[in-house]
Amino acid sequence: MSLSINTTILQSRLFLGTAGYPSPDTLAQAISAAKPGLVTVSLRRENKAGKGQDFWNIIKGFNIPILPNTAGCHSINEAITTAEMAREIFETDLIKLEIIGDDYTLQPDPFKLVEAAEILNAKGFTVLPYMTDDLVLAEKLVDAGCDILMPWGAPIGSGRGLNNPYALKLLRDRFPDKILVVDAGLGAPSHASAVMEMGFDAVLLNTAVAKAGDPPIMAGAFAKVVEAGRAAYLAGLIAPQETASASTPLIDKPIWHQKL
Amino acid sequence: MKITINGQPKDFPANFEAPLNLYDLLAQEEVIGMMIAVAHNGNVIPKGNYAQIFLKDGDAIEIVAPMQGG
Repeated sequence: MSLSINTTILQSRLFLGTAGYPSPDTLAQAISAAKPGLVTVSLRRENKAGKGQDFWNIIKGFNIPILPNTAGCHSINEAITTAEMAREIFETDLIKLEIIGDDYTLQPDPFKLVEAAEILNAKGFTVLPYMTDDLVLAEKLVDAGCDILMPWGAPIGSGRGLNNPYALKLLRDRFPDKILVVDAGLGAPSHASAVMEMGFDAVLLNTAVAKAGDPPIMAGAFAKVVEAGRAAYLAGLIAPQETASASTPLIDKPIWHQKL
Repeated sequence: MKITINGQPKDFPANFEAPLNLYDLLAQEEVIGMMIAVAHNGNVIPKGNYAQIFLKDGDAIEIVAPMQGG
């Protein structure tokens, strides 16, 4: 079954960032290969040079729903103004709420995040908070009105994968009705597969594709594993066992009990 | 009259056709027609309302456009 956010049916459970590609052409090829459900974009200052316009012309051609972010914001006010500007420009209520608390790890500030999420939800936004994997923070964000949570796998751009699978699994178990997306830190398609096998609804990544040796091929690889991981979750994984269990039946084996 | 545009203070001559509205300022900045959003002193201004916002000395304008993001 497809993932929907509000009334929008997404074509994929892979959400793709648009930053850091070697060229605009490579970005376009990566989006073509990934066929993502959402593409993330940011807002930056514009002048008569119109540097944002060429980028937008690439993105709008794909007709994929836009997820604007508040990347780089350190204060609640900055994040709220950025979200309002994003709504004005993209005509979407979706906002990836990102408020950085630590410049070294780019770890989100949990306290400001909750406060900003409450304000933005009250203003009618659909808030997708970029958060750590803390269970209590998740509860506070849900209390603030969030129906979607985006815990990190690892720090942004680190490619480390899942630093704390236990915490992520706990979030999935405790919020079975919320849309959960692992955002940030993934490096390999196997990381995305693990996320989807855990029952997460989607993954959001950027650097793992943008900085790959061949971004379009990597984008396609991630798209395949996200689909495969989701199918595996729905199919039901077997429980790991401590001992072997023969898969081939031994009854009527022709040399059964023959003495060596 | 001094107005800060994207963090850069800019002087407008005293004889600039007054009162200066936001639409005229954006036209002078050559960004009308672009995919942009504009904030006036921290308040986001809907596209259709630019001409109704009159500017005064010390105002701050932010003009933003879509850019790459993760």
